[in-house]
Amino acid sequence: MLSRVADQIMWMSRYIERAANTARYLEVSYHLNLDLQQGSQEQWRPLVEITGDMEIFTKRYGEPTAENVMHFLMFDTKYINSIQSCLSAARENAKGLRESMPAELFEAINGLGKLVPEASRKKEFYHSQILELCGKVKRECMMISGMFSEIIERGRGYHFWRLGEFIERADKTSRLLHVKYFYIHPQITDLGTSIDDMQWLALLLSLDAREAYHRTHGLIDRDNVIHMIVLNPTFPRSILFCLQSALQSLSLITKGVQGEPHNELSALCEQLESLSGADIVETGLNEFIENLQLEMNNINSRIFTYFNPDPSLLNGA
Amino acid sequence: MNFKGYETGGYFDELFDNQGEARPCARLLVKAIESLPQGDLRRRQEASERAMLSMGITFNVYGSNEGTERTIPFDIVPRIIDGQEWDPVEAGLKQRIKAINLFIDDIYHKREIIKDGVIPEWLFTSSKGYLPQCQDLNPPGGVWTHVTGTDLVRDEKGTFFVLEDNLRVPSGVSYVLLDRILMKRNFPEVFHKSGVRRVVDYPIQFMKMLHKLAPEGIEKPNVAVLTPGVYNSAYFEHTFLARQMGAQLVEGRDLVYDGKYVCARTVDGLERIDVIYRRVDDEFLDPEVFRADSTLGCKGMMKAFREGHLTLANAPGTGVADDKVVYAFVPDMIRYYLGEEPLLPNVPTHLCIEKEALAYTLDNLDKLVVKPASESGGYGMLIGPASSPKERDAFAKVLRANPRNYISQPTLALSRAPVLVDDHFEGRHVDLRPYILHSGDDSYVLPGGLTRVALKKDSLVVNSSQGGGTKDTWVVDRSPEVEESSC
Repeated sequence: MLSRVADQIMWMSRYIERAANTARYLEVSYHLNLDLQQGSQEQWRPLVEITGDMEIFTKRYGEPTAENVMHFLMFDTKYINSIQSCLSAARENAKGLRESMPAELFEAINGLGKLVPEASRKKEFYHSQILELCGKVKRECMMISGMFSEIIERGRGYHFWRLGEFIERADKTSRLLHVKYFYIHPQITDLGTSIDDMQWLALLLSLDAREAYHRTHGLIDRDNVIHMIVLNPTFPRSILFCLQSALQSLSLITKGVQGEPHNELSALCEQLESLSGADIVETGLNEFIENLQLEMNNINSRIFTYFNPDPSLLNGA
Repeated sequence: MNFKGYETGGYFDELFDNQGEARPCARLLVKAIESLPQGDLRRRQEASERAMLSMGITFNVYGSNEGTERTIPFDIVPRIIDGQEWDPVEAGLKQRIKAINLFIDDIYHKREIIKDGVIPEWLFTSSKGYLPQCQDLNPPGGVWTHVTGTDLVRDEKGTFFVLEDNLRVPSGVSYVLLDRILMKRNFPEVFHKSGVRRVVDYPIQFMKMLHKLAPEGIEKPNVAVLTPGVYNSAYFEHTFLARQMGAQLVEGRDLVYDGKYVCARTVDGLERIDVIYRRVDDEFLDPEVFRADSTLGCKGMMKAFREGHLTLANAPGTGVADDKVVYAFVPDMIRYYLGEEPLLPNVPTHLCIEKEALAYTLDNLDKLVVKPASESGGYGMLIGPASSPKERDAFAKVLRANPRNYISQPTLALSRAPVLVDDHFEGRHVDLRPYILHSGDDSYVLPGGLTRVALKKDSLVVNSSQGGGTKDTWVVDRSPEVEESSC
């Protein structure tokens, strides 16, 4: 398999997962803000914080408001991580893979380009349409991931797709948790209050994890929520689950041969397996997440290097 | 649905004679179409067009982004050629390509044909496609023109003429294969009874030819199709051919030269490539040798090619013979290299660099077609009968200023074939592009080829960007008479 093709499959999958995750946060935050009402301006900022692109946002829009955050995250074609841009990017990658993809799958991904309709881009429609749009993006992306499961043979292509998907999801889940830190930090007085509970709940909701959480842990409790989101090895959006799944696909791609990315990924999994929610809080949530993201970025570039032979290392080239 | 009232309009019609009778090779089809219920043919046509869309048979339109993909119009009435009429055309094409290939090899080596005074030296030095970088190159098997798409037209008597030889990277063959799939669905019975020569094995023939012309000593060559990428207008065809041939589809950025071989970057490391069917123009192949700003090829490719570690199909430099002035000398090349008379005629061509020809051209501008020698795609040409006196005056000035760059030809009454228009049939002008695979000692000619049809009424322009469409082309071996007597 060409390195470019592997890369394109991973990015196609990452862009789709990224769009779906952004839709998840947007949907849940919108709901949350409806309930919070007063001081709601403050509640839009964390949504931009998640993306890690606060600087770009401030330069273009100034203070975050409901409208400009919605525009930034859903429609902005000049912002490469907006839902619209991610879906277009996934589509562009799919075009380059057309000859190796079942027609049905190609058509589904090709159709993502029309998911955010021209007509919905008018400001006056934002509030009436945003929830429906988010739901649609989330469902369509899950459908494509489902198609992969249903019709693609378990070869390298499949596992590069999964690798991209799980790495992206681990990253986004960690960012989501990070945002909770931004909520908590400046408003220490909210700790243990109903606002605090609602924020943790929103976090669980955006991962579709509320029911699983209540079943396992009962009432909202900070350490338990962190455990659910970071360390639960059975919940498909937890960071540990994602990293373990990524490691599995990586090993299947290289047919058991272990390289640098395998080693680092498996070391990170082991480290997480040894922790509890309380341990993470003790280290400091902020510090823990910053380290985790550093590790994951590192693994990312190791994967790229591993599958992209560097021509400058050749003899005589 | 019938052909009553269909007019051949004084042109040579591919399906009907000038009395309005279906030609023997087309009788089965005409009968089948006439027995269809009203509206059925149109429904089939629409179903075929939908099938093309869903199969993704599209071409990109340059210069726009979203919604850039269009299907090429497809007409459901096939063009039919009698096998006995086709055989001499096939022989003529083989002969022509053999001679052209020898000519290109000669030009890049000793230039005997010039020393012997058969063609003038200015001819190739002024040809835009001549590449001094290809001097003394020895492509495997001595083959330069692996694949050619020669454009043929028929005049009012039905005689085939060669209009031009597309020797660089001819496109369109995917439409031949796909039109055929659609037509087999639409007329399975007629198809079966007519004994239509198959085109389905073209990708296999192609792959076999590439294997045969792989670098010396390579038994199972690794073959790749090189595409400029998803934004190229023919990208669909590139993916289609790669899939059909069982070759991998690569882009320039996938390739790297390791000091000896051209390799693909794969997830398992570098993988040597032996044969590249490239759909990238000569000047973009190797930034070290040609255009330095090209990212569509790979640095070192020409070195690997020159040293015999890589086959490039077509070889760079074939454009020297893909020039309208050089074209005029192809019959002389056939006589010179093969000692044979040409089996397929050229369209009579006047070289304006010759005094008499220039005078004749200037006197008859209203009757002739005048073309620049080194342009393609119909740019900068004058179609005399369709021009105004003012246009002709302006053109005459250009012509006098640079006669070397122009040729003139009589305006041909191109043959026509019926196409479905709303609920009836009308005649439209067609041309034909057969594809020839040359492997040195022998050639394979795709039976029939791509029929392009000018769907606009009275238009002579078959180009897809100007309202041209395609038809399936059937070369048939059984006439209904034979069929009936053998039953």
